[in-house]
Amino acid sequence: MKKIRKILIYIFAILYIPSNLYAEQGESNYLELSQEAIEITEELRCLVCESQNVLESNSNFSKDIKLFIHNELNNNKTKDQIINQIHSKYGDSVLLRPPLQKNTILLWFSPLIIFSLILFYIIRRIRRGLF
Amino acid sequence: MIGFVGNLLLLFALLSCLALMIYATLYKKNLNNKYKYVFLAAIAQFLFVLFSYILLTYGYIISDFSLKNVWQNSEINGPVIYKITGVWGNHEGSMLLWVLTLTAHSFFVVLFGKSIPRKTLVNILAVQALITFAFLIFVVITSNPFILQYPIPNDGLGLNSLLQDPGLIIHPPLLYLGYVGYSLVFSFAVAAMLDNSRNKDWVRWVEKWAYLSWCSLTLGIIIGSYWAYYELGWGGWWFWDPVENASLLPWLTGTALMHSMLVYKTTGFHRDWTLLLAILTFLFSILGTFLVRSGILTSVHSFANDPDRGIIILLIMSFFAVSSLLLFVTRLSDSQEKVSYNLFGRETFILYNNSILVLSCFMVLFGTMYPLILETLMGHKITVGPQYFNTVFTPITILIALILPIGQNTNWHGSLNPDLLKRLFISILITISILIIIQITLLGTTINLSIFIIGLGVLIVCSSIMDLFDITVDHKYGFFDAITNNIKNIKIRSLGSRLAHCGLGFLIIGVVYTSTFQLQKELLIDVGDEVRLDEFILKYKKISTSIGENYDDLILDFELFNDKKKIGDIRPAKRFFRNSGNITTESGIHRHYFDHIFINVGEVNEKNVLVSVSHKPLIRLIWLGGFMMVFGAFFSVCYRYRN
Repeated sequence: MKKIRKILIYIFAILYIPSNLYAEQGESNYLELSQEAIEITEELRCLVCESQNVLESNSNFSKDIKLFIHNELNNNKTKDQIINQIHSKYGDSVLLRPPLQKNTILLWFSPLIIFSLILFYIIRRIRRGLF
Repeated sequence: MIGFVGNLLLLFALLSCLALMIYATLYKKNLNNKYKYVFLAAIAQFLFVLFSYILLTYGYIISDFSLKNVWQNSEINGPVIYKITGVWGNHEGSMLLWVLTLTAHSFFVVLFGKSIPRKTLVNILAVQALITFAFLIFVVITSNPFILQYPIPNDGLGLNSLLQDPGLIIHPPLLYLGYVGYSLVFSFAVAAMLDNSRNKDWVRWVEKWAYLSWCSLTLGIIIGSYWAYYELGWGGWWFWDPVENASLLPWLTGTALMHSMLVYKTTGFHRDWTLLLAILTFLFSILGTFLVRSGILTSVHSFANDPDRGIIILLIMSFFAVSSLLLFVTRLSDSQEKVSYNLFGRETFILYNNSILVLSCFMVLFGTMYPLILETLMGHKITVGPQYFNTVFTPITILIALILPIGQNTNWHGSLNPDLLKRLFISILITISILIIIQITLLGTTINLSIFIIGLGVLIVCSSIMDLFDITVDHKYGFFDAITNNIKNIKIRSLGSRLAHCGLGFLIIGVVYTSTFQLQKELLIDVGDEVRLDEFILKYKKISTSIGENYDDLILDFELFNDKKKIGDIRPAKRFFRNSGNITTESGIHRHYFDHIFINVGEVNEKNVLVSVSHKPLIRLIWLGGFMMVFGAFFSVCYRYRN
C-alpha cells in the first residue's frame, strides 16, 4: 500500500511540473495572490478557456496574467492601470465588464430604454382603467 | 442487435406519432373511434420511446461498444451508476431523454386528463405529437444514439471526468422535466387558441403542469448551481454563462406565467398576455437547447455540440415560433379588454411583477446574444460577463424587493387600507431592527448599497410571514392569546406562495451577503502551516492518497478551528482518473451554520501546495431560498388540487 501511495504522489509531482515561464523567473514557482490581485483577476476573462475568469482558471494564459499582475502590483501600479494595460494588449474581449464605448451603448442602455417603454405602457394602461 | 432494435423502436415511435397526428386532424368518421385511436397512439409512442431508452441504458450497462454512442461515453470499469446516468451525459442520449419526457407528458395527459373535454384533449395531443415528431426526426437524423460501428473496440473512451458526479444523476432529468413540461403548457395554449374559446378552462387544466414544470425547472437550476459551485472550473454558483442564462429565460417567463395565470383565473384580465407567456416559455426552452447544442455560444456546460444540429433545432424553433405566434395574432381578444385597475389591487402589482420579469428576461437574452450579434455585424469581439449582469440586475432586484412586500399584502381589486399600511409598517420596523443588529455585528461597515439590498431581502421575508397572519388584534384577549389565535388561524391557502416569496428573500440576502463579505485567499502552504480566515483558523495537517473505483485521490487534510476549538475537518482533493488520465479538483467544504469554508487545491509539488481558501458567509441561504421557492410552489399546487 505504502508503495502505491509513494508512486501516486510521485505521479502528481510530475504532473505539476511548473511551466517554463515560472522556471525562468527563478523565484517561487507558484504565486500567492494578494487581495488586490484577486480583485483584478476576477475582472478578466481567461481567453483560452470557455467562460471562466482568470482567478479560477489554471490555464497557462491565466498563470501568465496572474504573474503579470503580481509584478505590476509590486511596481506600485494601481488596479485601473493594470486592467488598462491588459485591456490594450488583449482587446475588449478580455474584460468581463464590457467597456462603455460606441458599440456597447445599446448593450448598456437598452435595459433603461425597455424599462421606460414598459413604464409608459403600464401608466397608460392603468390610467385608462382608472379614469 | 441493440442498435437494430433501437432504430426499429424509434421508427415505430415516429409512425405512431404520425398516426396520432393523422387521426387527430383528418379522421372524422366516428368520433368515439377517433378518440380511442388517438389515445392508443399516444400511449404507443410513449412505450416505443421508453423501450428504446431502456434498451440504450441496457447497452450502457453491458458496455456494448458496437454502439458508437456507448463507446464514446462509457468504459468497462466505470461505476454502474455513471453508466446508467451517462446515457444523458452526452448529446444523443440527452436528446432521447428529451423525447422520452415529451412522450411521457402526452401519456400523462391521457392518463390524468379525465376532466378535459375529449375534443380539446385530441388537439392538445396533436400539438404535443407535432413537437415530438420534430424532435424525433432530429434524433433519428442528426443525433442517433443507435449508430453502430465496426470493428468493435475493447474499451470505451469513458464518460467525461467532470460529469462523474452525483450531480449528473438528478440535474439533467429535472431540468428536462421543466423544459419539456412547458411544451405541455404550450400545447394547452395552442389547443385553447384552436378552439377559439373565450373561457378560462384551459388555465385551470394546465395550471398544475405549469406549477410542476416550474418546480422541476427551479430545482434543476438550483442543483446545477450547487454542482457548478463545488466543481472547480465552472465559474462558481452562477457565472451568467450562456447555458445558465438559457435556463434562466424559460424560468423568468415561467414565473411570470404562474402569476399571470392567477390574475387571469381570478379577474379575467390578461387573457392574451397569459397565452403569449405560455408560448414564449416553451420557445425559450427550445432556444436554450439551440444555444447549448449548436455551439454558437461557447460555454463550460455544453458537452457536445455540432453546428449542423444547431441549424435543425433553429428550424424547429422557427417553425413553432412562427406558427404559434401567427395563430396567437389571429386569436387576440376582439374587443379591448375591459380592465379596471385599482392602484393598490393585487392585479396591478402582478402587472408590475410581470413587467419586471419580462424586462429581466429581455436583459438576459440581450446580454447573452449581444457579443454574438456584434461579432457577426461588426467583427468586434467583446465579452459580456457577470459584472454586466450584476450591474443591470441590481436595480431590478431593488424594484422587485420594493414591489413584492406591498403587492403580496394587497387584495384583489383592493385599495390602500389601514390593514395594508399596518402590515407594512410592522414589517419595516422588524427589518430596520434586524438591520441595526447586522450593523452592530459587522462593526465598521457603513450603510451602503449591499446593506440596503440585504435589508430589502429581510423586508420580503418579514412581509411574507406577516401576510400569513390576521394581525387585527382583538383587545378582549390578552397579548399571548392573540398570538396563539393568530397561529391557529394561519392562512394555509397562501402558505405556499408566501413560502416561495420568503425563499426569494433569503436568496437575495444570501447572494448579496456572500458576494459582499466573502473572503478569499490564494496561498502557498506547507504541512503544519496555519491560515487565518476571518474568525477561523485552518491547519494543514498532512497529504494522503486514497483509491476509488476508477480514480485515485490525492487528499489534503485540513483541520478547522474556531476560537481554539476544533470544529471540523476539510479534505479537498485532486482526483486522478486512471483511464482518461484526466484530473479534476474536488473541493472541500465545511458547513458552519449558514456559512461555507471552502478549500480548493491548486497545484501540488513536493514542497508545498497552492490552495485557494475562502469563507463564504450565509452562502447556504442561496440554495435554502431556492428550495423554499420550489417547496412553496409545490405546496401551493398540492393544496389547490386537493380542494
